[in-house]
Amino acid sequence: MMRERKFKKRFCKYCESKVDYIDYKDVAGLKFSLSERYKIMPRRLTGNCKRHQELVTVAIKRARQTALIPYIVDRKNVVDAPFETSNR
Amino acid sequence: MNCYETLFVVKPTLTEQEIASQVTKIKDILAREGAELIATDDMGMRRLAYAVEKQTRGYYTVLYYKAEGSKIAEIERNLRINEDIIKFLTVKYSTKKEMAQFDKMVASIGKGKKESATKEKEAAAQETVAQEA
Repeated sequence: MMRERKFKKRFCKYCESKVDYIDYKDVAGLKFSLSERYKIMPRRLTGNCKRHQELVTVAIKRARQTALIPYIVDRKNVVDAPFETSNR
Repeated sequence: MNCYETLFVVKPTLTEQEIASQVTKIKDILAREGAELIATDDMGMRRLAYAVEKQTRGYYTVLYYKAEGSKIAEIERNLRINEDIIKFLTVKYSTKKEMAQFDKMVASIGKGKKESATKEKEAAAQETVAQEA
């Protein structure tokens, strides 16, 4: 219940700005649809529409393949090597 | 001819010249396969999200080009052989919307760099101010 409150008004952010394609290299933009542990957030929490959720999913999976964002963030990653997107 | 984008990560242990030579090597392969190179995006040295071949950093480069679909296998084969390249990904842009995005990205390469450079400068300036304070 607490998590749902984070997204009050549910509308698709991408429909609003008329996005046709989501670039996998834009890590900052993808972060909206990622949880703290870099899991893909479900549609019911982000409010993304189905079409854009599918685009986001593909983009996130590509970013994971190229080591731009992590597959998992477990305790070891959090403690030893915290990943920050701003970090170059 | 289709539009493609290839991202590859070069090992961070190499010197700058060696990295540059690796990038030109890939470009040569593209030229050999009759690909038309449209743009190059140097993302620079970045931290990897997870260790790849025991490396925690990598030098990212993105190449945008037009090529015959049958040539991609050969290009990827070369990337796979090269031991100094730890990751690569080729993406095809085929539908109209994707093509539009492709053109947009190619156009924004020069701009984006300038913006990020100015941002970095601003950040650096802020840091110095903070330090003085």
